[in-house]
Amino acid sequence: MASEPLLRLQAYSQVRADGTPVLQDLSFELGRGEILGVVGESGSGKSQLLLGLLGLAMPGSRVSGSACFDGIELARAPEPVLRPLRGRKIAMLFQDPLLTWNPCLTLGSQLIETARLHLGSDSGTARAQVLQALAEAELPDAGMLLDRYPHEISGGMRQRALLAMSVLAKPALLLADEPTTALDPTTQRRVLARLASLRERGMSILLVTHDLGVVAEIADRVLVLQQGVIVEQGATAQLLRAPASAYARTLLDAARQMEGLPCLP
Amino acid sequence: MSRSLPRASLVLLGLLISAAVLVPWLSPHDYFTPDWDHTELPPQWSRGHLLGTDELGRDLLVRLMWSCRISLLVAGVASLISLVIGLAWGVTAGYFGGRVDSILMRVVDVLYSVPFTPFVIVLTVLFGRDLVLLFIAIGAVSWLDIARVTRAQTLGLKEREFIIAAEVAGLTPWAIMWRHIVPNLIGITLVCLTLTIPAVVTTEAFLSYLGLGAQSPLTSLGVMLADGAAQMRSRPLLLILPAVVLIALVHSCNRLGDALKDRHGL
Repeated sequence: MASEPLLRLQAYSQVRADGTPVLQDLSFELGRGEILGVVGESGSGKSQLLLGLLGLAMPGSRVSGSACFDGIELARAPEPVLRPLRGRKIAMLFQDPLLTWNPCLTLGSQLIETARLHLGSDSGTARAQVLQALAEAELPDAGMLLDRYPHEISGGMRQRALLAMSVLAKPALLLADEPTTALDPTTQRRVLARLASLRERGMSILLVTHDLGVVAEIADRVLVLQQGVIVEQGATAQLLRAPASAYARTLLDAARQMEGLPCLP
Repeated sequence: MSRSLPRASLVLLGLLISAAVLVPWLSPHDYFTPDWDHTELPPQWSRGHLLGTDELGRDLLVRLMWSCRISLLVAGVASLISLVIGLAWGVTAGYFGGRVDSILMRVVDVLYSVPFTPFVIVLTVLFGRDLVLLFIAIGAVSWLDIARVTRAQTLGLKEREFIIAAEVAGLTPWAIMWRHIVPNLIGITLVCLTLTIPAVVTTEAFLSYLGLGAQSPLTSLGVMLADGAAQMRSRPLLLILPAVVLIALVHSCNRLGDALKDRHGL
């Protein structure tokens, strides 16, 4: 990669308040316009990595090492430095869209709130911006969607609208935490296509998942995490074809047994 | 859980509230002018005193309705005061947690330990007997429960994903509390309110009975109970009527609150 990577972690570790290590000695880079898949079983610290980068690790946990985002040191950065980054430069997409929307407010009011917060627009412009973002996400009936409550629309729509909200401010980095796990295959495909098109526009994506099919389809590089330690990382095709570590092989075998790994590049 | 609301209680409550609101326009009589020609009348329809008159010739029904009005007014205002303080206090404590939580909730504990009646007596000694004082005194005490309940709910809510998502999206704590936590507490605060109102009505009646609340000629359920108790041997109706109204009011509010509580699965 010629240019400076967008995100570079060096010996990044996270330790819980009671001393249990969550992440140990992580070092990796994420280039601009690149999708890095992070795989590993539940409890391997994938989600904690994402929250930790935003300074929202569990209360009392200690962070060491370095996590440099676009020239800003994220590890141990104080709240006033981190908050303006959240949502604007670094956005996050969650697994379950029903839980991630506030059930008491319409999609519109939450989307417009985000637009006003990050784009600083007045409510009229914010509405237009939201409609445009929904149109870009190829969501039909965007105007009607704004008046709906989260429980009134389908799970797929919820997640796609959520993705539209996450990237509303055109962040440089999207942290996606199992974004397709709760979706049916068709919607999964739509969301992945949208992520790919965001990559075309130069957005970097850190894609946490346990679905190797998703990784095979979209990630440029893969990082395998086992109990908070990187056991292997490399280009997707190479890693999936010839995993070097025993753990990656186990994951691959498990995935193959479940469904047969689709579309290996 | 969709237990239906107790219809009888709703109807009763509706009747009492509309009587309280409409009383100035309902009857030619008022609650304070003595009528020396018609004192101590028994209930009779012909002269327009449906429930009779008291020892000063004031219409009993009108006085009952005015009592409802004052009692509900005190209850409404005091509950509103306690709702605002309690909600703000509880959400702040629950959301920030840690030291803020400890300090705020210790204050609540200390206030809980203040004995209520002596506190009100001291207040009346200091500031004189005044209805506004009654609002403040009751409101200052009854927000404690609401603060505790909303704090507990906030503790649960702030672990929910949409609150974490709001944090991740860069919202300030105030925006998260006001926009994302408070709207999710509406159900529970409504329940709290329906249970606070009858408690306040009882408290008000108790204070007025002791002469610390509404002052004559202004009436309230407590004042009427005190008047009636003085003559209960000769004219039991003067005691029974306000007692029945008080029970109806408190009971229907409580039934409604309980039903709402079940509905929200608390």
